[in-house]
Amino acid sequence: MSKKTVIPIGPYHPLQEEPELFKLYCEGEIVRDIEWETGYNHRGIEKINESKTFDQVFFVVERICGICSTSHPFAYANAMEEVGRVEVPDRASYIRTIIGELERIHSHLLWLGLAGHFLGYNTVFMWAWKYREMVLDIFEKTTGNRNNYAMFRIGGVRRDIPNIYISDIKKMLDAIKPKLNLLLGAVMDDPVIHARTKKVGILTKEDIIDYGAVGPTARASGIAIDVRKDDPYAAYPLIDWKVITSDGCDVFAKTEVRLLEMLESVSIIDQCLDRLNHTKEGSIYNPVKEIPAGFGFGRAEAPRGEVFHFVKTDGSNSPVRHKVRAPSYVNIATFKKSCIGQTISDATIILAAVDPCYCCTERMAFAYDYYSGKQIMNGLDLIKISQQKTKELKMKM
Amino acid sequence: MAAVNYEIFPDILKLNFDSDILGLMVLQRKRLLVQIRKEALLEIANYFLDELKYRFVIASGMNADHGYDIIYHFSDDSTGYMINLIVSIDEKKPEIESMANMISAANWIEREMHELLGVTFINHPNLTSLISGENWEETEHPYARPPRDNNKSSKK
Repeated sequence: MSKKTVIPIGPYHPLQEEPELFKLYCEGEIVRDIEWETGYNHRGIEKINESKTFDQVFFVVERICGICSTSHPFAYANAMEEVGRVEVPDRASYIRTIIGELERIHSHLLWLGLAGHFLGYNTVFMWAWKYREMVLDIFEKTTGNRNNYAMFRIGGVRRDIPNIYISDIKKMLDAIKPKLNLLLGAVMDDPVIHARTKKVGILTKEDIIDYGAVGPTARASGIAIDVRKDDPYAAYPLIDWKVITSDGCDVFAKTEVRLLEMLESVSIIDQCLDRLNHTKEGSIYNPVKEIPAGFGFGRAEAPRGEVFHFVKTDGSNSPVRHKVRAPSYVNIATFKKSCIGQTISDATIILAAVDPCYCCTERMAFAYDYYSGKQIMNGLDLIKISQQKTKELKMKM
Repeated sequence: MAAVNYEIFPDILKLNFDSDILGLMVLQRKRLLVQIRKEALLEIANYFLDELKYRFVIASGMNADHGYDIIYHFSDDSTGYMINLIVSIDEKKPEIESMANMISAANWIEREMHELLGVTFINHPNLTSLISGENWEETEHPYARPPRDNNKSSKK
């Protein structure tokens, strides 16, 4: 008897969107319960890393997420440098900070584009992604890659940013700033966006604390947690910047926090570039000979919130245990609070508002009938009714 | 919440939970590892979450010679300190009280550890599989392994 193979296409097709499943249990228009199924993309990365050397792990963790591909190496480097008590040269700290902040800008722009698309603002989608290209160009110039930058190593970074590049990068950065202001103005002044996102998907302070949510999701509910400030690493303590918060608790507040954060990131990068000029070119890492036995707890603020890496070492050249906690792991659980009682047409934007990222981003949803359990809509239908709602609002205004 | 003085914090912990604390290690910058008795987990976790207003970050389960170790990571976001509670679980009776009723953030990670390592979390509201889906056999735990060979660490 031949073995039967099942090839999931459609809902779980990895090319379409990522294979993940939400079940929205609806009663009429209203979402009554939500269930989440995961594991479709479980790659066993924690287990794989136990068989890799410390240097090889960088390349594995970089591939956990395609969008925030620097956050994981950042947190892992912090953990390893804690175990090995390694000092990082100033120049490397600045370069790390620049890469981390560039990533925040491109990730937030990507999110803004998708959020615009879900609301039926395809112009926002096209603009945001167009301006994201400008950030990727800076990545290409500084790291040689547009994604998966491979910049991190224990004790520093792999590649230097030569001083002669700095003025060029500054020019590219200056070109992005007016575009961000344009998007900020477009979102903050649009009455329809206000109507669609204000008082929608509320997450109170208590919910955030209970679910342990992090990043812009927490900061939009008035909880000023940011690892960059709370447990400073890289060049963040040396730079002048502030944590952006909002008390709105809704989807609009999350949008506002992300938009303002991008401008803050531009300022951080600008300051880092200035200081890069005053450090010695080429001194970008301290060699590390051995990692002793011990425990390392590394954290980094990814665009979506705190990334946490725990590494246990035993004096050999590979981790005994490597635990990875991505921010979406705690942020996605808040759907239980934010979605229930809302209409189906708002559900897509609420789900999108925490910027869910499984191994990068996943926004697939199905509507099930509460009583029969039958699937009545798929993700595309949901986006369609969300866009329809915006259209109707525009007609009324 | 009163600011915690971390210079005397280990002493305060010992004073409050004398017999429940089996060992205490001040690790690197701003990191503390506290070995506690399994039975005292909820009480000590409650002290960190309710009184000191720490944030529950995640828990890491791992294999150990005696069975399993679980490290519960807590973060004090006002100072950046991380307190890590380590609990040993016997191989013969892999059970521990669930924290999910106290804080929802522990819900998923406990399900994950149950599935991957085979530790049972008592009183968990929904101890079903998180990753493997519906076809998961309750007896299969992919990350559980026989104790690591102690001699391996000397081979480089």
